[in-house]
Amino acid sequence: MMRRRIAALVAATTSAVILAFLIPMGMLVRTLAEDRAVAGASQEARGVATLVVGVSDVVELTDLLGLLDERSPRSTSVLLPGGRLIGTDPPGSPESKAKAVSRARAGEAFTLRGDEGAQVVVPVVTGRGTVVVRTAVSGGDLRQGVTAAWLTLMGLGVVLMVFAVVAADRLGRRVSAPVSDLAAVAQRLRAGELEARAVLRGPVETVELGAALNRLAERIGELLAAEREAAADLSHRLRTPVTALRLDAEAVTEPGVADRLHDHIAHLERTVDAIVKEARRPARRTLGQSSAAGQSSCDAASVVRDRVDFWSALAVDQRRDLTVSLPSAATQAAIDATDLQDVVDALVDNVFAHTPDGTAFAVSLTVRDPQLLQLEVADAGPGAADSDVATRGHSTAHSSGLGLDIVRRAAIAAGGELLVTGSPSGGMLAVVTLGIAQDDHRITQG
Amino acid sequence: MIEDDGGIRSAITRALTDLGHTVTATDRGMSGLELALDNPPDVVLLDLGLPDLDGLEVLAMLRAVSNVPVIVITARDDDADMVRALDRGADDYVVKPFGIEQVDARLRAVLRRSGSAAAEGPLVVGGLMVDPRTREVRLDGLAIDLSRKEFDLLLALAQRPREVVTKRELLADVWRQSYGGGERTVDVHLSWLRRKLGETAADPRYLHSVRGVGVRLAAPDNGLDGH
Repeated sequence: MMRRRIAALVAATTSAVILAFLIPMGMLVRTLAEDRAVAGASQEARGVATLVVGVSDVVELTDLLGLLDERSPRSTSVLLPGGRLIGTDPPGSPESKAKAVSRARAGEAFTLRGDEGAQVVVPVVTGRGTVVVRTAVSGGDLRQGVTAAWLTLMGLGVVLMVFAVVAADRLGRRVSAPVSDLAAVAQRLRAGELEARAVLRGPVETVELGAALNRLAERIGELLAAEREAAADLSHRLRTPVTALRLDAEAVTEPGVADRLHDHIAHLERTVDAIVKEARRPARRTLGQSSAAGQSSCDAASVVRDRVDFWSALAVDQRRDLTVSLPSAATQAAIDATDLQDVVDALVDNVFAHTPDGTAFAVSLTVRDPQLLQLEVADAGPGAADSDVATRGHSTAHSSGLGLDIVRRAAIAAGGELLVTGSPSGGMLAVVTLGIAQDDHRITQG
Repeated sequence: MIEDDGGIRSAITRALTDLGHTVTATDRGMSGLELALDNPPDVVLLDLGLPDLDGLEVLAMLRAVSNVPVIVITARDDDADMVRALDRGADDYVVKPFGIEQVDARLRAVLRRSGSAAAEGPLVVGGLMVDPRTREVRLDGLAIDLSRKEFDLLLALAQRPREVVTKRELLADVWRQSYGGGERTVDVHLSWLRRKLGETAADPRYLHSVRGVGVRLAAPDNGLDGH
C-alpha cells in the first residue's frame, strides 16, 4: 500500500515536470520547422527575383522555374507587369491573391502564413513595371519533421516516467519492507510469541520505531514475569496462614467443632485456590495460547466424553445407569479445557455425593443455538420434593456448593450461565450454557 | 524443621511430637544447616521461602555434606519449582496448604525409602506384584497397564497390606491434597483399579472397601498370604 502510494506520488510529480518541459519543447519544434521552411522559400523567391531582372526571355524563365519546382518541394511563380503568369499558380482564393499582388505591386515584400501553407511574395521593380515573384510552401512542408520530433520527445517522456516509477517503487520497498516486518513482529507479539524482536533496518524513523517496539516487548516480558511473581507471592502469602490454621484446627478434638472447622477451612482453601488460579489466569492465557487472540477454547464434546469415561468406572461399581449424549461433530466451546474438565467433574461429583448408589444419571451436550452450547447433568435421585435440590445447589457441606460456584463462575466466564432445577425424573437438573468459540479473524500479512 | 512462619512451625512441631517424633525447629536457613550438621536428624523438613537464604541454596549446601532425606515445603504449586527442588536433591515435597496427615505420609514414605534397599524391591500381595522401581504391576504373572495415579494408589495400599487405609490418607499420600471433597476422586481411581485387576466392588478379590472407613488391599482368602 505504502509502496503503491509512493509510486503514484512520484508518477504524478514526474509527469507534471515532464509535461511542463515537453509542451513548450513541442511548440518550439513546430515553430522552428515553419521558420526553416519559410526561410527556404524566401531564399528561393529572392533568387528568382534576381534572375527575373537578368532574364527577359519568357521561355527561358518558364524553363528555369520548371527546373526549380522539380528540385524543391516549393513552387514558385512569376507574375509579369502585363499580368502574364509564369510557373504554377499559387494556392488561395482569387481575392486574396489579387490583394497580395496589389500589395506587392506597391513595393512591399512579405510572407503570408495560413493553415494550408505559407507564401513568400517578393516584388521586383524593372523598367517594364513591377514583377511579382511568389514562392508557395505547402502545409506538409511547413510541418516537415515535426511529427517525428514530437514522437521522439513523447518516447523520451515515457521512458523518463517508467524510470521514475521503477526508482520510486524500489525506494518505496526500502521504506515499506522494514515497516511490514515491524507489523509482522507486532502480530507475533500479540499472538503470545514474546521472544519476537524487530530487526533494526530501513530509514532512521523505522529503526527508531523498531527499537521502541523491542523495548515494548521487553517491558511486556517484564510485566508478565512480575505478574507471575505477584501470583506466586499471593499464593505464598495466602497459603502460609491457611496452613497454620489447618494444622491448628487439626489439633481440636471436640468432634462437632472439629468437623465444622474442617469444613470451613476446606472452603477457605478452595477459595484461596480459586483466587490464586484467577490471579494466574492472564499470564497463562497469554503465554499458552499462541494462536487464538486471548480467547481460549477447547473441543467440548471430546472433553466431556473423556471426563464421563473417567467417571463411568465408579458409576458401574455403584450400579448407576449412565446415559451420555454428545454431538457427533467437534464443537469448540469458549472455555479452557482444564476449566471445562473442572465443570464436568464438579457436576458429576455432585451427583455421586448427593444421590444413593444405584441412582441413574444422564450427561448431555447439545448445540442450543449458533452462539451457545448446553451441558446438562440430570439425576433421578430423591430431592425435588424435600427441597433438597435448592439446598444442594448452595450447600457448603463437603464443599459441594463451592463446586457449583466453580461451575457458575466458569460458565459466566465462558459467556453462559448455570441453572439448577428439578429434573423430570425427580432429581436435580444442572444446566450449564457455554459460549461457542467464534473463528478468530486473524490478520494476515500483506 | 526449617520454617520461617511461626504458626506453621509451632503447629507442626506439636502435631509431629504428638505422633511420636522428636522435632527441632528453626526459622533461619543458616541455623538450620548448623543444626542438621551438629545433630544429624532422620529427616529434614525445609521451607523454600526463608528470610536469610533461598531454600534451594540451603538444600544444595545440605546436599554437599549430607545424605539426610529432605522434604521440601513450598507454597508454589507450579511444576517447575517442584522439579527444581527435586533436581537439587529433595526427596519429596508438600505443597501449602497441607494437613499433618500429609506431612506424616511424606515422612513415612521418605523414611521407608531411606530405611533399607530391600524396601525398594517389589511388593507382593498374593498373586499381585508391585515394583516401585520399574513402576510395573503383575497379577498372576501378567503385566497390567496402570495410569500414574492408579499405580501410586496401588503402591500406597501395597505398602500397608491388610491395613485399612482411609481415603483422607490416600488423598494426602497420593494426591497431596489436604482437604475434603476429593473422596470421589479416590473412589473413581479405585473403580478403575478394580476394573484393571479384573474384579468389582460387589465381588472383590484384592481391593476391599470398608464402608465409611477406607480401603484395604489383601490377598484373596483362598490364596496364600503374600508373605
